[in-house]
Amino acid sequence: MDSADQHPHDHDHLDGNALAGALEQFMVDLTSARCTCAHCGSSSALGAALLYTHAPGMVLRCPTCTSVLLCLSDQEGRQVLTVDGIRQFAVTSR
Amino acid sequence: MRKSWQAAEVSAVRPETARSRTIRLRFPDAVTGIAGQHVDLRLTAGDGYQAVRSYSVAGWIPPDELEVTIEELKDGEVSPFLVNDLAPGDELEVRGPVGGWFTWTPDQEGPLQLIAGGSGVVPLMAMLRAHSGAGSAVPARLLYSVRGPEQVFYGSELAVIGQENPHVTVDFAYSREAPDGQPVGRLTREAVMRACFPPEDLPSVYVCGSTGFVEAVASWLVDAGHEAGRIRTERYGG
Repeated sequence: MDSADQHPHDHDHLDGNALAGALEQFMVDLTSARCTCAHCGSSSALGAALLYTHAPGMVLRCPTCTSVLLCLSDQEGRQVLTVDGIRQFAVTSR
Repeated sequence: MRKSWQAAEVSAVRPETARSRTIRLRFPDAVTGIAGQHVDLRLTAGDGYQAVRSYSVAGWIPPDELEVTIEELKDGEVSPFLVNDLAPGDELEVRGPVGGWFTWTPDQEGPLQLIAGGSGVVPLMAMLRAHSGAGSAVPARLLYSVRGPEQVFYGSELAVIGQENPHVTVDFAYSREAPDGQPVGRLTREAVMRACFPPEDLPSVYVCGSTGFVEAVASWLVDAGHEAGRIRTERYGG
C-alpha cells in the first residue's frame, strides 16, 4: 500500500509553502486590521481594542465584551503570540 | 515600516511647558511616516533593566528627523528622565514610526475634526501640520481641552495656524484656569458639540487624551449621531 492510498486527499492539496505570497498581505501594520472577537462576535480594528500592559506581557481585550483577544509575551528570547480570542482577522487586500 | 530598534541622536530639545518638552531625534537614515503615528523609545539602565514607552510623533523634519513632545508624569519611570535629563548629543533606541489605525493623510475625504485632552494634542498637532504642509483645503477643526494657558503645547504655532489658515479653526476649552474673559470648567457635551462639525458633514474624528476623556467624548459624539466607524481614538498612558 503506498502513501497515496493512506492519504486519499494527497493529490488535492499543496503544502503551506504555497501560502507565502498570500500571507505576505498580512505583513502590514496590523493595528489597522479588523478582528472579530471569538467570544461575542463583534468586530473592531485592533488599534481600537483595550491594551493592558501591567500583566507579564501584554494583553489585548475586546472593546465590546472585554474578553481577551490576544496575549503577547517575551519568553526566553522568543516573542510568543496567543490569539485564542480572535475568530477572524482581516486586512485590506493588496 | 521599520521593524527593529535603531539608535537616534537627540539633535535638539526645547521646553513646551514647565513640565514638558519637545525632543528632536535624528535618525541614521531618512525617516518618513504618517501623521498620528508613534515611536517606541527604549531606555536601558546600567544593570540591563529596560523600559519601553510609546510617544506620538509631533512632526517630521525631512529628511532624517522627527519630533516628539513628552510630558513628565508624576512617579513616571521614563518621562522624568526624558524631560529633565536627556540632552542634545545623547542617543536613544527608537523603533518606528509605527501605527496605522490612528492616522490621517491629506488625501482622506471629508472634514477633519480633532479633539485633544491635555498632552493628547501631540498626534493631532502632527495631523494639523500635515494638513498645513500639504496646503490642504479640507476644513479642519481642533478642540483642545487643557487645564490652563500655561499647559498649552505649541501655543504660538496654533495661534498662527488658527489666524492665518482659512481652512482651520482652533478652539480651546480651559478646565482649571482661563485667560481673561474666557469660561473655565470641565469640558461638557455642549461645548464639544459647539466646536465640532455636525454629523451630517461626515467628519473624520480623532480623539486623543486620557482614557476617561476619550471615552466621555467618544460616547457624546456617538449620542449626537456621529457614526462610530468615523471616530478614532487614542488613549495615552498615565
